[in-house]
Parts: sequence; C-alpha cells; structure tokens
Amino acid sequence: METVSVDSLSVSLGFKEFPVIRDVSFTLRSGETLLVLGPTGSGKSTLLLALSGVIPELIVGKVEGDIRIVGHDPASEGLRGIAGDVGIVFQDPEAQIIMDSVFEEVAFPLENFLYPKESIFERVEKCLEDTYLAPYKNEQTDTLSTGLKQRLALASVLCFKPKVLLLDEPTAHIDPKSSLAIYQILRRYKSEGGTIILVEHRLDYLEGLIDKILFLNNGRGILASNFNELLEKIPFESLTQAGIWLPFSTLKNRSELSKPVVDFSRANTTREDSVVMAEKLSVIIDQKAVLKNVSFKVSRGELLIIVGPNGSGKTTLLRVIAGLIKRYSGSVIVLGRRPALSQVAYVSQIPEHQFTERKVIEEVVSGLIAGGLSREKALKVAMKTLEDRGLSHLAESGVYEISQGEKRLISLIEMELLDRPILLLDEPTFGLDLRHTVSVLKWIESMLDKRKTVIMVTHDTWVLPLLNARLIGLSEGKIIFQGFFSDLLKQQRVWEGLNFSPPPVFREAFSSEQIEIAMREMRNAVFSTYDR
Amino acid sequence: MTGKSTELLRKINPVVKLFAVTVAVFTVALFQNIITTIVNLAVSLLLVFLSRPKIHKFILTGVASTLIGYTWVTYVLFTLNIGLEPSLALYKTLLLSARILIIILYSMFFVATTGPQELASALTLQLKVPYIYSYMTFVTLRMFPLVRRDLENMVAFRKMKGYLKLSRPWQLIISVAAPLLYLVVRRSVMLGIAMESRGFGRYPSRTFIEETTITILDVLFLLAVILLLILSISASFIFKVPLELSL
Repeated sequence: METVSVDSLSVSLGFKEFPVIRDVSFTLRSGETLLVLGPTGSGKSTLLLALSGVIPELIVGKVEGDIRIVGHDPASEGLRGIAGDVGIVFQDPEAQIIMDSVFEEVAFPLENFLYPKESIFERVEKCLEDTYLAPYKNEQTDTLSTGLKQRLALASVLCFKPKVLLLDEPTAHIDPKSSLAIYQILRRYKSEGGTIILVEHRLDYLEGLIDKILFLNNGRGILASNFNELLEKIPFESLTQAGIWLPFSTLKNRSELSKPVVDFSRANTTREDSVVMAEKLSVIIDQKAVLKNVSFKVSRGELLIIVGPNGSGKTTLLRVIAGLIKRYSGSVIVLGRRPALSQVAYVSQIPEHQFTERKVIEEVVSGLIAGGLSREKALKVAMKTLEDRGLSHLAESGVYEISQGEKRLISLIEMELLDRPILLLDEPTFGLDLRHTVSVLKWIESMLDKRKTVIMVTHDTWVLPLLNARLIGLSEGKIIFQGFFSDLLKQQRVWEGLNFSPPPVFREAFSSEQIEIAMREMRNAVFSTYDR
Repeated sequence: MTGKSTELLRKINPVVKLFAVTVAVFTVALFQNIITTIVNLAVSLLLVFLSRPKIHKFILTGVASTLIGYTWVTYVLFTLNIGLEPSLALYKTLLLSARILIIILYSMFFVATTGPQELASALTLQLKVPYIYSYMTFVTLRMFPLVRRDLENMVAFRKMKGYLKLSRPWQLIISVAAPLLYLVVRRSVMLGIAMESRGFGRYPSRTFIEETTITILDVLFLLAVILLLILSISASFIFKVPLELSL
C-alpha cells in the first residue's frame, strides 16, 4: 500500500504562470525515505509546501496533478486537513517553537488533537525519552541551544505519531553531534514504519536511511533508487554543476587526484602582527556566563575558525570582536583599540539583516556610497565585482527574490566592498549547495590573499579540511581546543565537548600521514569538481 | 517574603487580574482626586514591588521620558492656555501624571505575573473565547523577542555600513522597514504552518493540560482590590474631597 503518491505534479508560486516544479511523479510505501536533492532555488522547499497543503492554502500558488498522502489530498484539504497524519519540521527551529517550556511544546499538538489529559502526560514523557530530551523536560524553550530546539521541534511532531514526515533541511543550523542524534531518531521512526520525505544538503548522516532519490533541476524531477542509478540517469557534470553533494568515494574516483589544486602553505605562515587579541574575556548575558576566560590572538591575513556545539558562545565571541557586545570583562583589542563596528565587516547568518535596498546592484553600491564614493564610481566598482564573481546577471534582481545562496554571496560581496581589514563570518556556508559553498570558500581564500583577517564560525565540519585553518574549539564558553584540523582529529578527548564528529572520509585516518593524504584528496576532489 | 508573594500573585487567575486592574484603572480615570490617586498609587506600587518585574532599561527610559514629557506639556497647557494659577496647575498636572504612572504600574504588575499561555487558557476556559483567538495574543507575544533581535541586528549592520547619520535619520528608518517586514511575515507564516500542522485550529476545542480555574485566592484578591477602591471613594466623601470625572 502506497503511503505517498504524487503524479504529474506541477506547482506555480504567486500568480506566475511559469511553474517552479513541472511534472514530478513518485510513490513511497510505509517505511521508505525519499531524499530530495537539487541546487539552491530548484524548488525543493516548494515541493514540501505543496505536499503539506501549505500551497495553495497559506501561500498563493497553483498546484496541478494528483497528490495523495495517507489518503488525503493536501491541495483540497489544506494543512489542517492532513494534520495528524503528516508532520513537518523546517530548518529554522526559532520559527517553529511555540510554547514556553519543553514539556508544553511536546504536549501542544496532543492538546490540539484532543487527547485525554492523562494520556498526554504519558505520551510526552515517552517522547522526551525517545528523543533524549528527558533531562530538559522543565527547561524554558528560550534557554535551549539551537540543536536542542531542533530536536524539540522533531519531538513535538513525533509525539502524535504521524505516518509521514516532511523535513526541510532539519540539520542545517546545528552541530554534527546534534545532527547525528536527529538522524538516529529518524532511523528509528523509519524502522517503525514511518515514511520520510527529506530535503538535505549534508549527506554524511544519511547512511542506511535513503530508499529513493529525487533530483530536482529547472523544475524537472528525476527519480533514482540510489546514487549509482542517479549517476546513470544524469551526467556527473550536471550533478556537480547543480551543486549536489555526491558521496566522497564518487568524487574521488572522478577527480584528478594527482594535481594539488589548492595551496596548503598558508596555514603555516608565521604569526606576527596580531590584529585581534583577547585576554581572559568573559561575557555574562541574562545572568548566564556565555564566555569564560577566553584568550587568543589572530594575526593579519590569518583565517581563524571557531567551532563548538550550539550555545557554546561562538556567535557571542564574534559579536564582541565586532563591537556589538560592549559588556564584558577581560581585555579585547582589535587593531590596537577597543572593538568598534567601524573596524570590521560582519556577515550575519541571516543575509536579510544586512540588506538596506531593493535591488541587488543598489544593495552592493549602498555601502560604497555611504563610505563616501560618488554614485557613478560606486556603480562601476559594484558592477565589476559582480562580474568578477559571475553574478552580474543578478544586478537588476530584487534582493528578496534571489535564492538563499545568492543572497549569501551578495551579503559577502557587500561586506568585501566595505574594505575593512577584519571580516567576521557567522555560518557563511549554512544551507548552501556545494557549488555555492565552494564559491564562499574561494571567496574567503581571495580575502586572505588580500591580507584580510577572517574569523569564521561554522558547524560544517567538512569545511575544516578544505580551508585548513587554525581552529578554536569552544565548549560551554571555554576554549577547550586550539590547533589545526589534523590536531583535532588526533585529540578525540575533546570531540565530546565540541559535539564534533569527523567527516566520514577521516574516520579511517589515524596517523598524520593518513590524515594529510585524506585532506589533500578531499580538497582536490571538491575543488576540482565544484570550482569550475 | 516577596518570593512567596510573587508566587501567590502568579497563581491568581489572569482573567481575575485583568478584571481587577481594569476596574482600578477606570476608578482613577472616572473618580479622580488626591485620595483615590494616592490609594491606587500605593496599591499599584505594592503590587509591582511584590511581583518583582524584570524591566529592561529601554522600557524604564521610555516610561520616564513619557512621564516627564507629559507632565511638562500638561503644566504648560494649564498655565498658558487655560490660565490656571501655577500651584493649582501643578496640583492638577501631578494628578494626571500620577494617573499615567498608575496605569503603567498596574500593567507592569499584570505582565510580570501572567504567563501568555495562562492568559490564553483563562480567556478560553473562563471567558469562553474561542481558543484560536485567545492564542493570538500568545503567539504575538511569542514573536516580540525575535522581532527585537532582528531589529537590533539590522541597526547594528546599518551602523557598520555608515547608515546611521544624524543628517539623514530617515535613511535608517526606510532601510529597516522592508527587511523587517519581510522577516516578520516570513516568521509568521512559518509559525502559522508549524502550529496548523500540529493540529492547531483543527477542532473547535482543545485539551488543556493546565486548566485555569477560579479559586478562593482569586475571590479574595478581587474583593481586596474592590474594597480598597470603595474605601478610597468613601473617604473622599467623608473628607469632602470632590471626585472629578477626568477623561
């Protein structure tokens, strides 16, 4: 018996005639998982919104074709009609936590579905145990880390035992260990007969979970049962051009490993001319110690990557260096004086926070004009930069209309043009396909070539071997690790504190030589495949 | 002492608190004189003291500037426009300013001792408001911290970009409006989807794991507030202090 059946589905958004998704068909049985892949902006989220009935009920759009989910027609029944049989989890936990406490959040759907009071208490207790959230039962949701919030969102959905789960990049915002915990929960859900439709860029955690793959590109969908079949149906170049994260083994076989494509020497440059110095830095926010006695230095032209679990103080540290947080103890010196916004360029997790204009070109020139450049000169510089980055076609587009990956690149360019000596990047690769991610990494390298100092926060562990920078590992506000990626691989005792899990390719690399070879192979494979 | 009192005040049914506060505010507005004002000021200050609210410095600054501005403008109007004697103008001005302060203090007490979810439950269970509407307040309040965070970040980015210039203050406001609206709408849609997909609004009623009820504590609290208000009005008659209808 098919749980999900989609036949010739086409979806248009707004009042546009041109469909975002065209003629997509697939079926899923109970206990099966469909992985939806595609470049940023290919319609993956739109597919989930149509399957959940959000389009056309809450978001204006046209849905054509036939959808059946557990016997429901979402297009006519809407989100309320399918609620109970279908559960939805998005990438942003902030946008889906409703109640004040963990217990209330999990109980919320059960109250709505009119479960008796006694059975709600039983179910919530069981669900909190199954999702490893029992110790947080009485915590306030606002105090939870992002990783815990996402697990809570999943717990709140799983408690009413939906037959189908729709997941839109559920681990995009969270650290590796929290991601592994979420996929462990999903494996159990699948083994109990649950059907999953999953949009995910990060494939590291999906082993043993996927039964079918749907590749969306330019609105068309191609279905395969595994990566090998997908590669038979679609040329390798088309997949990599679309930024699809292929398994490393596939990349390794196809790329030219003999030619090192990226210089490793930068990481070993001597450290002098410190531009950022923190000494015994401590920050207390809402009576909670977020940073405790943090000390480090960053040199001119150096890349420093800050890693650690959600809620460990990474973004707070970045905000102190930016001059956004002024209440701290200890000492922080940036370019010889106290931190100030005028000394740095800061790229936020949410690009929309930066945007001040309507069109892309206006957005890019705005910082230049505010900095004193004439409009004519600013336009020339902006157009030249967009052309250099291959983004000149976006110049006249609206900043809110372009894809999330493109928004991220525009926000980076805008900060680059401020021409500040220090760049602070908060999760610059989150939610991006591999092609856009590689563009961001190349952009970072180009900034280092200009002797800019880059301090970056990331959860994407696979980015670490690609950049090979000095790392700082934060755990509960304290630095518990300083060194390079290769050092981190050898110091397994700090993994627990950092919620770190190495990318699969490094799980068999133990000696320094093995690690270096694996790093070189990975860099060569990724850059030679996706940086074209 | 205050810890126990805070707990007790939190236990009072939100609908009862809302009713008591509304009656008190209307008493000050409709029957104002020095006695009702002093009694209400004392009661509201006591309630705020016992409820121990956490007040952000921006709110305190806002309250202070509102009171100072209101007092100054009212005094100028009384003396220059109406031509009252300075001492009488000051007396009347202070009474009116005290009324604003009393409303603010009662509101602080209510907000500090009432959880949004308890309010939603009480509106549904005691006042029979459909839960979809009573939860609207709750969801709106839920959005405030997120919107505030967005706004703080946006202003910081504009400072970094050099948009915060005294010569062009409108530039900052215009540049914040569009992204803020965009993010608020996006967050609201996501929250709406998250709620509906979890059964919100599917049935006309819902189970409440924590049901609010009217207890003896609520009755005593309401009686105490009403008694104080009646006493203050009675004292006005006894001491022959005229009550003024002041809207």
